Amino acid sequence: MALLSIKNLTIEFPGVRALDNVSVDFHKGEIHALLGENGAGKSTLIKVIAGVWPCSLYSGKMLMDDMEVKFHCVKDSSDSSIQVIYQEMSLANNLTVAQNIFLGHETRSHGMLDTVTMYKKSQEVLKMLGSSIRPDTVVSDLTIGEQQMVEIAKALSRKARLLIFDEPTAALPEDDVERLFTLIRSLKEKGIGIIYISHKLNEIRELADKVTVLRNGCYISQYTRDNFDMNVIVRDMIGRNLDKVFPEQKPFSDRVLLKIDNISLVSNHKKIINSLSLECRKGEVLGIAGLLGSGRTALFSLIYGVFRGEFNGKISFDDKEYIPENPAKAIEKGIVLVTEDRKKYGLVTTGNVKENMIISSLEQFTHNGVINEPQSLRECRRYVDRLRIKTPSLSFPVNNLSGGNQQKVILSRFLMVKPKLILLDDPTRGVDVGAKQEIYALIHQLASEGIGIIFVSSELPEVIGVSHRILVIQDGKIKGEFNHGTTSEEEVLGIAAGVNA
Amino acid sequence: MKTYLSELWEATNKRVLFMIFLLVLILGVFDILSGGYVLRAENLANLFRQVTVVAMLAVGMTLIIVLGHIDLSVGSALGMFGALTASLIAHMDVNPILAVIIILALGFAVGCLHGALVHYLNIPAFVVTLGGLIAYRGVTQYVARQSIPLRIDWIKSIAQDFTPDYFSFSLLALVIAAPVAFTSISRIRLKKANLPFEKPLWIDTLNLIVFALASIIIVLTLTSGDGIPIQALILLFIAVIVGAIAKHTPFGQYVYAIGGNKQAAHYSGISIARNTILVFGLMTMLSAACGIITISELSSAAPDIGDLKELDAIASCVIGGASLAGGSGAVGMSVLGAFIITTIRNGMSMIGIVAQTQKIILGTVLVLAVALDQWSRRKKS
Repeated sequence: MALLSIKNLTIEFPGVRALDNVSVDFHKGEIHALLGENGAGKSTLIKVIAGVWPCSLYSGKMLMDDMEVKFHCVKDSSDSSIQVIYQEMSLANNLTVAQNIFLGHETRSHGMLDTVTMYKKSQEVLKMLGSSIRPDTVVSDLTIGEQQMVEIAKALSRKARLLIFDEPTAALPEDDVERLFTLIRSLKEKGIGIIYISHKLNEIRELADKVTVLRNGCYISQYTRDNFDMNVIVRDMIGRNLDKVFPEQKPFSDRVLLKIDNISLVSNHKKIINSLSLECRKGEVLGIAGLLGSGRTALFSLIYGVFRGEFNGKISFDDKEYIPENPAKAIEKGIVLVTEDRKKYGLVTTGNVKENMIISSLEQFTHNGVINEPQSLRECRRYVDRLRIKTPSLSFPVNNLSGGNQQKVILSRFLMVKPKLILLDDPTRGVDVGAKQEIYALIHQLASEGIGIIFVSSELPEVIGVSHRILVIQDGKIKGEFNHGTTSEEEVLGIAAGVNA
Repeated sequence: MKTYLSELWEATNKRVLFMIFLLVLILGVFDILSGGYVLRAENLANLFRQVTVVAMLAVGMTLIIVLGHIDLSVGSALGMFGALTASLIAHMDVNPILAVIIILALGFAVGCLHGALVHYLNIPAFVVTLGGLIAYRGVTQYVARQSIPLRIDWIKSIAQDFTPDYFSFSLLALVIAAPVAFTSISRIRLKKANLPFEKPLWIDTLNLIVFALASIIIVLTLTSGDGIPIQALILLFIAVIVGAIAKHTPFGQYVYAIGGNKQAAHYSGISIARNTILVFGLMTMLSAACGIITISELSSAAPDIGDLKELDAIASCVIGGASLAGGSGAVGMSVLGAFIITTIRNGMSMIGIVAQTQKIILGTVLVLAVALDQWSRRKKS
């Protein structure tokens, strides 16, 4: 008997059928992974299960323990022992751990909050999860890994027979990922059913008992652990065969585009970047591998002119001295930054696709002070075609696009200014397999046009596979340098973790 | 694959049509209730004169709200600059034209100061302009402690005179022809470039027809009386110019982008400082202009002119659909919002509702309007 059984679920939104007659069963004590490209329907299915989309919006049935359930709101689903741990944290940063865990179902005594009981119960849950976090810590003081632990504790403090994890490792440092996996396995042992969504196929291979693949809102296939074949699964996901993952590399020029000479960045009395030097040539794809906190994002902020702190050292761009001041100046020189946090620094969420694309290059389209609409639209169309952006129209709100397509919109924006150097920070974060490939191919296509690309990512296979040359950054300094094909994940990770000298 | 959201377009148009329908409804209801006095030429002229200041302020306020800020100093600034203008002319014998230029420039400068304080010192706009509200009212009350009479004819005529018929009809022709021309040219260019990015022809045509009809009715009614109030021309001019700037210039796009996501705008190379300062500068300059119009209307400067006008301006923008969170709103819609508020006020006066009750009703209407708006947005999602 299935813990949760979805039968013939169909849900439609204006312009798109998000789920089309999907049926799938989830069992207790089983880690069941949901796979699919962005827009395949995974998030929608989760929202249906979680009660975000009420039963009035869809057709089909949901059964728990063979009895039909109808969720009108999130509370209904939560009361049925279904809890979700979302990708974007839903904690109140200014409250303590205990307050967050009991948010919404605080214990009271004589009508007032019973903080002692809440503290004790929080401690119990956290201990069961193997965590030593103190319940009276304010959430904003915790690391991302610890915050996620609190989210899980929060879910478990209510009855949870089914736990749903939505991209849990996207923002997690490496050692916390292992901890999370151990925890999930122990929850499975306790008989809790687990639904796991992730784009990281190696994680799925390690963790999942069962895999269900969705594509374009339809159920495609299901596999159990004994017959996992990643190639077959990927083909089911994208509907075509995946060519060699990383594109062929073309040679690049000798001319040095960006030269960084012994720079340092001090912020809050901490040396974030310390005697760092590097060079990037025209047409070169330079990869920078490093753990969270190694200074890689700070390096980009520095070059782009959005850093805080004191900066020392020399940077030259295109054979001229370059002093980073602000993004406008960087763009003017031909340097662009595609950030890792597109919701915060990338997208103008109240705008549509066209507005987000042209915003950095408006001067190109402005004649006599007025914006030339047809010209700007034409340009946008070109990039929609070139980058294969899936959007119903240029006036579509950019917020409603999938992660991969949002990323492409931002990329288009910065390609429109005809850059000479592109700084890419985790460009495939939250992007599905098919779109990832497209981005890699695009990176090399741009490089072959003579554009320099500096590429930062936490996914080591990506950095190693895509770059012409790989630098390893640790503690604000470059500690290793390798040419394409001369190193391994283990070696790079060792240097990044500060293990090998 | 033309699955472009024609529904979205329709929704946009529906709001405008709805507000116009509402306007017509309000006018009709009050006309009946007042026994036919509301839709008379002289009342319509009055209506246009009453709406001008609020609508002009709403035009400037739209950009401020889109940017994600608010400006509470607007009414007091109006008073201060009106009083200063009167004082310059009456007490210091400054040439009136020079006085107007000085005041407008001063208005712009003070506004830029607001913007600079907001951006560089990170003081919330609410606080900066609240300080302005209090301080500028003080200045007004001092400068105009004794009512300053205004004797300059051409200034008085701004608010008190009308356009001759030949001018009114020429204007009507222009007002009808211009949108038709612009829309046609735009559609032809898009078609030539093979771009499917346009409203369906029937919606465009419907818009133009409704607009033309409304204009004809208004002008005919006004010319049957004294003519079009000159103030209204100023409003038309300002609304069209600022509206065009907001939609068709980089500056306009930057304002919407900053209001939508300030960080993203910064990372896209937009100068937050420059655009913030400009928007605030423009707002206070418009306030100064309204100050001049107000003293023109009263033929004098009194210590309480402009009192609470900022609230009307903000209400107009909100009724027009601007979001106080920033990033959305439109100049034309705010002007419509100003008309709605003013026609309700005007109508209530015509049927004898006292000022105190009017305020109660207007407050209720404001909240209802936004509630309706939020409800319809929720239905859409």
